[in-house]
Amino acid sequence: MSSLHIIAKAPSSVSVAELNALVDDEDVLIFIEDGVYFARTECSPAASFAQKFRQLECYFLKEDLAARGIDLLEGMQTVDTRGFVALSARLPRCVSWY
Amino acid sequence: MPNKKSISLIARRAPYGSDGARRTLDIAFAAAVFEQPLNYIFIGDGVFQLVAGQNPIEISSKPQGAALETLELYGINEVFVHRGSLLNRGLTESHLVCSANLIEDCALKKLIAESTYVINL
Amino acid sequence: MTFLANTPKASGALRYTLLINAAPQSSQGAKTALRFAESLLQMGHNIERLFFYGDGVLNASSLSVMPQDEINIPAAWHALIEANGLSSVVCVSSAIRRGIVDTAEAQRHELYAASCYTSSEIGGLGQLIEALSNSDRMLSFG
Repeated sequence: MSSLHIIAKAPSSVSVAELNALVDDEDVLIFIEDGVYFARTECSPAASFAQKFRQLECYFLKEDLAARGIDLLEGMQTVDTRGFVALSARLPRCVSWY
Repeated sequence: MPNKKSISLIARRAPYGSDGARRTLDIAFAAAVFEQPLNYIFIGDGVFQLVAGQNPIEISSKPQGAALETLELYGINEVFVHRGSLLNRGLTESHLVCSANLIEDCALKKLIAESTYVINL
Repeated sequence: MTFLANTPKASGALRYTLLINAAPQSSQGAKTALRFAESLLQMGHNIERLFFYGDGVLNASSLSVMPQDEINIPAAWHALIEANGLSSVVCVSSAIRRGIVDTAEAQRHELYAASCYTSSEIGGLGQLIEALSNSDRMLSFG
Protein backbone atom coordinates (compact mmCIF):
# COMPACT_ATOMS: atom_id res chain seq x y z
CA MET A 1 0.00 0.00 0.00
CA SER A 2 1.49 3.27 -1.06
CA SER A 3 2.61 6.10 1.22
CA LEU A 4 2.40 9.90 1.11
CA HIS A 5 5.89 11.39 1.43
CA ILE A 6 5.87 14.93 2.79
CA ILE A 7 9.08 16.67 1.76
CA ALA A 8 9.66 19.88 3.68
CA LYS A 9 13.33 20.61 3.01
CA ALA A 10 15.11 22.16 0.03
CA PRO A 11 16.85 19.78 -2.38
CA SER A 12 20.24 20.77 -0.96
CA SER A 13 19.13 19.66 2.54
CA VAL A 14 17.54 16.33 1.67
CA SER A 15 19.41 13.08 1.06
CA VAL A 16 18.48 11.88 -2.40
CA ALA A 17 20.00 8.48 -1.55
CA GLU A 18 17.56 8.13 1.36
CA LEU A 19 14.61 9.24 -0.76
CA ASN A 20 15.56 6.74 -3.45
CA ALA A 21 15.78 3.99 -0.84
CA LEU A 22 12.37 4.72 0.68
CA VAL A 23 10.14 6.20 -2.03
CA ASP A 24 8.37 3.48 -3.96
CA ASP A 25 7.03 3.71 -7.50
CA GLU A 26 3.42 3.71 -6.30
CA ASP A 27 3.98 6.41 -3.67
CA VAL A 28 2.65 9.97 -3.76
CA LEU A 29 4.78 13.03 -2.96
CA ILE A 30 3.86 16.43 -1.61
CA PHE A 31 6.43 19.21 -1.46
CA ILE A 32 5.84 21.75 1.28
CA GLU A 33 7.79 24.57 2.98
CA ASP A 34 11.33 24.71 1.48
CA GLY A 35 10.53 21.45 -0.30
CA VAL A 36 8.76 23.48 -3.00
CA TYR A 37 12.23 24.42 -4.28
CA PHE A 38 12.22 20.92 -5.77
CA ALA A 39 10.37 22.67 -8.59
CA ARG A 40 13.73 24.22 -9.48
CA THR A 41 16.13 21.30 -9.58
CA GLU A 42 16.82 21.07 -13.33
CA CYS A 43 20.46 22.09 -12.93
CA SER A 44 21.19 20.67 -9.48
CA PRO A 45 22.50 17.38 -8.08
CA ALA A 46 18.91 16.56 -7.12
CA ALA A 47 17.97 16.52 -10.81
CA SER A 48 18.02 12.73 -10.97
CA PHE A 49 15.53 12.48 -8.13
CA ALA A 50 13.47 15.27 -9.69
CA GLN A 51 13.33 13.25 -12.90
CA LYS A 52 12.15 10.25 -10.93
CA PHE A 53 9.45 12.09 -8.98
CA ARG A 54 7.99 13.51 -12.21
CA GLN A 55 7.02 9.92 -13.00
CA LEU A 56 5.13 9.72 -9.68
CA GLU A 57 1.97 11.45 -8.57
CA CYS A 58 3.29 14.62 -6.96
CA TYR A 59 2.00 17.93 -5.67
CA PHE A 60 3.36 21.26 -4.48
CA LEU A 61 1.71 23.14 -1.62
CA LYS A 62 0.18 26.30 -3.10
CA GLU A 63 0.67 28.55 -0.06
CA ASP A 64 4.39 27.72 0.15
CA LEU A 65 4.95 28.26 -3.59
CA ALA A 66 3.22 31.64 -3.44
CA ALA A 67 5.20 32.68 -0.37
CA ARG A 68 8.47 31.97 -2.16
CA GLY A 69 7.57 33.36 -5.59
CA ILE A 70 8.23 30.00 -7.24
CA ASP A 71 6.43 29.20 -10.49
CA LEU A 72 5.80 25.65 -11.54
CA LEU A 73 6.91 24.15 -14.80
CA GLU A 74 4.27 22.71 -17.06
CA GLY A 75 2.62 19.55 -15.81
CA MET A 76 3.33 20.15 -12.12
CA GLN A 77 0.27 20.12 -9.84
CA THR A 78 -0.58 22.16 -6.76
CA VAL A 79 -2.83 21.61 -3.76
CA ASP A 80 -3.78 23.90 -0.90
CA THR A 81 -3.72 22.81 2.75
CA ARG A 82 -7.16 21.23 2.43
CA GLY A 83 -5.86 19.25 -0.52
CA PHE A 84 -2.89 18.23 1.63
CA VAL A 85 -5.32 16.94 4.27
CA ALA A 86 -7.28 15.07 1.58
CA LEU A 87 -4.08 13.39 0.34
CA SER A 88 -3.14 12.33 3.88
CA ALA A 89 -6.59 10.79 4.26
CA ARG A 90 -6.45 9.04 0.90
CA LEU A 91 -3.06 7.37 1.42
CA PRO A 92 -2.76 4.84 4.27
CA ARG A 93 0.35 6.39 5.85
CA CYS A 94 2.53 9.49 5.75
CA VAL A 95 6.31 9.75 5.83
CA SER A 96 7.71 13.18 6.72
CA TRP A 97 11.07 14.47 5.55
CA TYR A 98 12.41 17.53 7.35
CA MET B 1 -4.90 -2.53 23.84
CA PRO B 2 -6.65 -4.97 21.50
CA ASN B 3 -5.25 -3.59 18.28
CA LYS B 4 -1.59 -3.85 17.41
CA LYS B 5 -0.49 -1.30 14.91
CA SER B 6 3.07 -1.38 13.69
CA ILE B 7 5.51 1.52 13.80
CA SER B 8 8.58 1.90 11.63
CA LEU B 9 11.12 4.24 13.17
CA ILE B 10 13.58 5.70 10.70
CA ALA B 11 16.86 6.72 12.32
CA ARG B 12 18.64 8.84 9.72
CA ARG B 13 20.50 11.36 11.85
CA ALA B 14 24.02 11.01 13.17
CA PRO B 15 24.25 11.03 16.99
CA TYR B 16 25.36 14.02 19.16
CA GLY B 17 25.10 16.83 16.56
CA SER B 18 21.35 17.05 17.19
CA ASP B 19 18.84 15.30 19.43
CA GLY B 20 17.01 13.41 16.67
CA ALA B 21 18.86 10.14 17.27
CA ARG B 22 18.13 10.21 20.99
CA ARG B 23 14.47 11.16 20.57
CA THR B 24 13.97 8.34 18.08
CA LEU B 25 15.47 5.91 20.59
CA ASP B 26 13.15 7.18 23.34
CA ILE B 27 10.14 6.47 21.11
CA ALA B 28 11.51 2.95 20.52
CA PHE B 29 11.73 2.32 24.27
CA ALA B 30 8.20 3.66 24.82
CA ALA B 31 6.82 1.48 22.01
CA ALA B 32 8.60 -1.54 23.52
CA VAL B 33 7.06 -0.90 26.96
CA PHE B 34 3.61 -0.90 25.33
CA GLU B 35 4.54 -3.98 23.30
CA GLN B 36 3.82 -2.13 20.10
CA PRO B 37 5.25 -3.91 17.02
CA LEU B 38 8.28 -1.93 15.92
CA ASN B 39 10.83 -1.82 13.10
CA TYR B 40 13.94 0.22 13.89
CA ILE B 41 15.58 1.21 10.62
CA PHE B 42 19.02 2.83 10.39
CA ILE B 43 19.71 4.65 7.15
CA GLY B 44 21.94 7.46 5.88
CA ASP B 45 23.96 9.14 8.62
CA GLY B 46 21.80 7.23 11.10
CA VAL B 47 24.14 4.23 10.67
CA PHE B 48 26.81 6.24 12.55
CA GLN B 49 24.70 5.73 15.70
CA LEU B 50 25.67 2.05 15.61
CA VAL B 51 29.44 2.51 15.26
CA ALA B 52 31.37 0.80 18.07
CA GLY B 53 33.81 2.72 20.26
CA GLN B 54 31.79 5.92 20.88
CA ASN B 55 33.05 7.88 23.86
CA PRO B 56 31.12 11.16 24.16
CA ILE B 57 31.96 11.90 27.81
CA GLU B 58 34.14 14.90 26.89
CA ILE B 59 31.26 16.43 24.94
CA SER B 60 28.83 15.91 27.84
CA SER B 61 26.61 13.47 26.00
CA LYS B 62 25.33 9.97 26.69
CA PRO B 63 26.73 7.26 24.42
CA GLN B 64 24.17 6.38 21.75
CA GLY B 65 25.92 3.17 20.70
CA ALA B 66 25.83 1.77 24.23
CA ALA B 67 22.11 2.56 24.48
CA LEU B 68 21.44 0.82 21.17
CA GLU B 69 23.28 -2.27 22.43
CA THR B 70 20.44 -2.71 24.96
CA LEU B 71 17.64 -2.85 22.35
CA GLU B 72 17.46 -6.63 22.57
CA LEU B 73 16.93 -6.46 26.34
CA TYR B 74 13.84 -4.35 25.65
CA GLY B 75 12.56 -6.94 23.20
CA ILE B 76 13.36 -4.76 20.20
CA ASN B 77 14.59 -7.34 17.72
CA GLU B 78 13.46 -5.92 14.39
CA VAL B 79 16.56 -3.80 13.81
CA PHE B 80 17.52 -3.09 10.21
CA VAL B 81 20.54 -1.36 8.72
CA HIS B 82 20.44 -0.06 5.16
CA ARG B 83 23.30 -1.79 3.37
CA GLY B 84 23.94 0.99 0.86
CA SER B 85 24.30 3.58 3.64
CA LEU B 86 26.98 1.45 5.35
CA LEU B 87 28.85 0.91 2.08
CA ASN B 88 28.77 4.63 1.20
CA ARG B 89 30.39 5.42 4.54
CA GLY B 90 33.14 2.84 4.35
CA LEU B 91 31.56 0.76 7.12
CA THR B 92 30.91 -2.95 7.44
CA GLU B 93 28.94 -5.03 9.95
CA SER B 94 32.13 -5.54 11.95
CA HIS B 95 32.12 -1.81 12.89
CA LEU B 96 28.71 -2.04 14.57
CA VAL B 97 27.82 -2.39 18.26
CA CYS B 98 25.15 -5.02 17.67
CA SER B 99 24.01 -7.50 15.11
CA ALA B 100 21.48 -6.11 12.68
CA ASN B 101 19.74 -7.25 9.57
CA LEU B 102 21.35 -5.63 6.56
CA ILE B 103 18.59 -4.55 4.23
CA GLU B 104 18.38 -3.49 0.58
CA ASP B 105 16.18 -0.73 -0.90
CA CYS B 106 13.60 -3.20 -2.10
CA ALA B 107 13.04 -4.90 1.28
CA LEU B 108 13.04 -1.49 2.97
CA LYS B 109 10.22 -0.25 0.76
CA LYS B 110 8.28 -3.39 1.63
CA LEU B 111 8.76 -2.80 5.40
CA ILE B 112 7.43 0.75 5.02
CA ALA B 113 4.47 -0.41 2.95
CA GLU B 114 3.52 -2.88 5.69
CA SER B 115 3.75 -0.37 8.57
CA THR B 116 0.79 1.46 10.04
CA TYR B 117 2.95 4.45 10.97
CA VAL B 118 6.34 5.74 9.93
CA ILE B 119 8.18 8.09 12.27
CA ASN B 120 11.05 9.90 10.58
CA LEU B 121 12.29 12.55 13.02
CA MET C 1 -13.32 -7.65 18.24
CA THR C 2 -11.18 -7.39 15.16
CA PHE C 3 -9.67 -4.09 14.28
CA LEU C 4 -8.62 -3.28 10.74
CA ALA C 5 -5.84 -0.74 10.66
CA ASN C 6 -6.29 2.14 8.21
CA THR C 7 -9.91 1.44 7.50
CA PRO C 8 -11.78 4.73 7.20
CA LYS C 9 -15.03 4.98 9.13
CA ALA C 10 -18.24 4.92 7.15
CA SER C 11 -18.45 8.71 7.25
CA GLY C 12 -14.90 9.02 5.90
CA ALA C 13 -13.81 10.87 9.02
CA LEU C 14 -10.40 9.76 10.27
CA ARG C 15 -8.63 10.09 13.61
CA TYR C 16 -5.26 11.81 13.42
CA THR C 17 -2.33 12.07 15.79
CA LEU C 18 -0.09 15.03 15.00
CA LEU C 19 3.51 14.90 16.23
CA ILE C 20 5.01 18.39 16.36
CA ASN C 21 8.79 18.56 16.66
CA ALA C 22 9.55 22.12 15.59
CA ALA C 23 9.84 25.19 17.79
CA PRO C 24 7.43 27.94 16.70
CA GLN C 25 10.21 30.49 16.32
CA SER C 26 12.91 28.67 14.36
CA SER C 27 11.29 26.69 11.58
CA GLN C 28 8.10 26.72 9.55
CA GLY C 29 7.00 23.27 10.70
CA ALA C 30 4.91 24.47 13.64
CA LYS C 31 2.98 26.91 11.45
CA THR C 32 2.38 24.21 8.85
CA ALA C 33 1.14 21.86 11.59
CA LEU C 34 -1.23 24.52 12.91
CA ARG C 35 -2.73 25.21 9.47
CA PHE C 36 -2.99 21.47 8.84
CA ALA C 37 -4.78 20.92 12.17
CA GLU C 38 -7.26 23.73 11.43
CA SER C 39 -8.05 22.36 7.96
CA LEU C 40 -8.34 18.83 9.32
CA LEU C 41 -11.04 19.87 11.78
CA GLN C 42 -12.85 22.04 9.23
CA MET C 43 -13.01 19.03 6.93
CA GLY C 44 -14.69 16.92 9.61
CA HIS C 45 -11.75 14.74 10.65
CA ASN C 46 -10.86 14.21 14.31
CA ILE C 47 -7.68 14.91 16.20
CA GLU C 48 -6.98 12.05 18.58
CA ARG C 49 -4.08 13.91 20.13
CA LEU C 50 -1.52 16.63 19.53
CA PHE C 51 1.85 15.50 20.82
CA PHE C 52 4.61 18.07 21.21
CA TYR C 53 8.12 16.59 21.26
CA GLY C 54 11.69 17.92 21.33
CA ASP C 55 11.80 21.63 20.46
CA GLY C 56 8.10 21.29 19.61
CA VAL C 57 7.28 21.64 23.32
CA LEU C 58 7.96 25.37 22.98
CA ASN C 59 4.60 25.57 21.17
CA ALA C 60 2.99 25.19 24.59
CA SER C 61 4.78 28.14 26.15
CA SER C 62 2.39 30.62 27.70
CA LEU C 63 5.28 33.04 28.21
CA SER C 64 6.05 33.79 24.53
CA VAL C 65 5.59 37.42 23.54
CA MET C 66 5.40 38.29 19.85
CA PRO C 67 5.59 41.63 18.05
CA GLN C 68 2.14 43.03 17.09
CA ASP C 69 2.54 42.14 13.41
CA GLU C 70 3.52 38.51 13.96
CA ILE C 71 1.32 35.55 14.81
CA ASN C 72 1.72 34.12 18.30
CA ILE C 73 1.82 30.42 17.48
CA PRO C 74 1.58 29.12 21.06
CA ALA C 75 -1.48 31.33 21.65
CA ALA C 76 -3.02 30.07 18.40
CA TRP C 77 -2.49 26.43 19.46
CA HIS C 78 -4.00 27.22 22.85
CA ALA C 79 -7.09 28.74 21.21
CA LEU C 80 -7.49 25.80 18.82
CA ILE C 81 -7.14 23.25 21.62
CA GLU C 82 -9.64 25.08 23.86
CA ALA C 83 -12.19 25.74 21.11
CA ASN C 84 -12.24 22.11 19.99
CA GLY C 85 -11.61 20.35 23.29
CA LEU C 86 -8.53 18.63 21.88
CA SER C 87 -6.18 16.34 23.76
CA SER C 88 -2.76 17.99 23.75
CA VAL C 89 0.27 16.43 25.41
CA VAL C 90 3.71 17.93 25.89
CA CYS C 91 6.51 15.39 26.35
CA VAL C 92 7.79 15.77 29.89
CA SER C 93 11.43 14.92 29.25
CA SER C 94 11.63 17.40 26.35
CA ALA C 95 9.63 20.01 28.28
CA ILE C 96 11.46 20.24 31.58
CA ARG C 97 14.79 20.49 29.73
CA ARG C 98 13.43 23.53 27.89
CA GLY C 99 11.73 25.27 30.77
CA ILE C 100 8.20 24.25 29.86
CA VAL C 101 6.58 23.30 33.18
CA ASP C 102 3.07 23.26 34.60
CA THR C 103 2.29 24.21 38.19
CA ALA C 104 3.00 20.70 39.47
CA GLU C 105 6.37 20.45 37.73
CA ALA C 106 7.27 23.97 38.83
CA GLN C 107 6.62 22.99 42.45
CA ARG C 108 8.45 19.68 42.13
CA HIS C 109 11.56 21.35 40.75
CA GLU C 110 11.22 24.46 42.92
CA LEU C 111 10.86 26.83 39.97
CA TYR C 112 9.27 30.25 40.39
CA ALA C 113 6.73 30.07 37.55
CA ALA C 114 4.72 27.71 35.39
CA SER C 115 5.17 28.26 31.66
CA CYS C 116 2.91 25.66 30.02
CA TYR C 117 -0.54 26.62 28.74
CA THR C 118 -3.14 24.84 30.87
CA SER C 119 -4.75 23.53 27.66
CA SER C 120 -1.82 21.14 27.27
CA GLU C 121 -0.98 18.36 29.65
CA ILE C 122 2.60 17.40 30.52
CA GLY C 123 2.94 13.68 29.93
CA GLY C 124 5.08 10.84 28.66
CA LEU C 125 5.83 9.16 25.36
CA GLY C 126 3.43 6.41 26.39
CA GLN C 127 0.67 8.89 25.56
CA LEU C 128 2.02 9.17 22.02
CA ILE C 129 2.02 5.38 21.66
CA GLU C 130 -1.48 5.19 23.17
CA ALA C 131 -2.75 7.86 20.76
CA LEU C 132 -1.26 5.97 17.82
CA SER C 133 -3.08 2.82 18.82
CA ASN C 134 -6.37 4.78 18.62
CA SER C 135 -5.63 6.67 15.40
CA ASP C 136 -5.93 6.08 11.68
CA ARG C 137 -3.15 8.49 10.65
CA MET C 138 -0.06 10.09 12.13
CA LEU C 139 1.68 13.11 10.65
CA SER C 140 4.96 14.45 11.90
CA PHE C 141 6.00 18.10 11.48
CA GLY C 142 9.53 19.43 11.94
